[in-house]
Amino acid sequence: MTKLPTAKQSPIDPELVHELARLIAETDLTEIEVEKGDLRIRVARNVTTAVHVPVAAAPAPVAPVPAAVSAPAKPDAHHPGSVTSPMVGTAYLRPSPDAKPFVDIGTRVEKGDKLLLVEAMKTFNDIVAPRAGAVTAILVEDGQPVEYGEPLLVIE
Amino acid sequence: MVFSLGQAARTAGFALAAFESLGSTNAEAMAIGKAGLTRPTWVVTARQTAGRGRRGNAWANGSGNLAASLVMVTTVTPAVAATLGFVAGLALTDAIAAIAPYFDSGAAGGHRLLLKWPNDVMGDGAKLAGILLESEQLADGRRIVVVGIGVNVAAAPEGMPYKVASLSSLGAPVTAEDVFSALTDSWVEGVALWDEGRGVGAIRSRWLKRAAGLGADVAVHIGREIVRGTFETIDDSGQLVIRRTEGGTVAVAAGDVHFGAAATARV
Repeated sequence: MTKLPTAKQSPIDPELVHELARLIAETDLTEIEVEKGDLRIRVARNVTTAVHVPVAAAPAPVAPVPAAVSAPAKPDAHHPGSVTSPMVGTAYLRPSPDAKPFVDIGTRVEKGDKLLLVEAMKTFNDIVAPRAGAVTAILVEDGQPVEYGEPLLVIE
Repeated sequence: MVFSLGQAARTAGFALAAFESLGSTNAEAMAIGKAGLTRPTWVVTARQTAGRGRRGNAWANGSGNLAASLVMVTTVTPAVAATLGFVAGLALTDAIAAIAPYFDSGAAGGHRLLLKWPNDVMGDGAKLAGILLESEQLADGRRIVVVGIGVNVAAAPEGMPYKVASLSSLGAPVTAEDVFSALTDSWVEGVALWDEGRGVGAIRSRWLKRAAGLGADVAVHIGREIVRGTFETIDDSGQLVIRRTEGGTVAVAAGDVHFGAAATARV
């Protein structure tokens, strides 16, 4: 199973690190990063196993890690203006394949405006702007698998 | 055509909005939800002119078929709301089995009606019904969830790239009105078992008893990748668990799923 163990009290969970190491060996991933409470663990192949606690606590519990996902951590991943995925699924930037995207880089949005869709199990969830601002980065492609808590775009 | 809620749905306080003809029951249901919903409401029509499938695919509705959407408001997370699709699949098979009990009994005591992950309803291996959910966040943080259900009752669409059937073609002489009333009642039961997500485990157990392709070859396209293996189970969040051909298992939340021969062919 790629479903990871649920949160434990110990800040560093050796089982979790082993699980990630095993996953990375089984798949073609070069690195896996998970967040659990304020703990973030990144396991990378042929590099090092890094465990560090970020200054800002991230409210993301552990999510299942589909082995088919291979997006590396992005520079904007922990930007304060990033809008994250509320679920594991597939992100869509357009309402349908031949429609215009909901937003482009530079689009000014109001709180509550629709930004994109995340599908899981034929359920399409709209992701709305948590605040007003301008879209400064779009971090996913149309049809890309996304993780729980994965940054989708940035509003500043 | 006169659509009416079943007795249990009326007692439970559901509302009904029935139309002679409608573009999309999902779109209408979402509009009703956004206008302020005081109770869960079924939107139904016998003639849907612009039905929606997954990702802009048209959903063809022949005359005499059923197009129905349930709209409700919930406080659960989007991931939990997505498990309502399994409730819907089960509610529909329960409804058909209730009005045509002889029909559902297959060879060797099995079911003829099966559920294909995540929520297609299959009859003798052909697609009988499709289910599509949409959810939107309200300003107060709650979510509107629309559960759209399209059933081939009288006729199946032609020219589809996969096997399709209708209840009529499979020998169940029921009407869209019969199916709808029974569905509104079985939904009451299913959503009570679901219990705002607390009953997902019970829904999962029931769903697995009707699962199509358990243990069979499966291939899923996820983005640009294809995961191949056998369909092992679904997990408590409803994800498809695949035992990979190369070993290990993986849980999949969304993707195009091909079972059986189509899974082993080059796709």
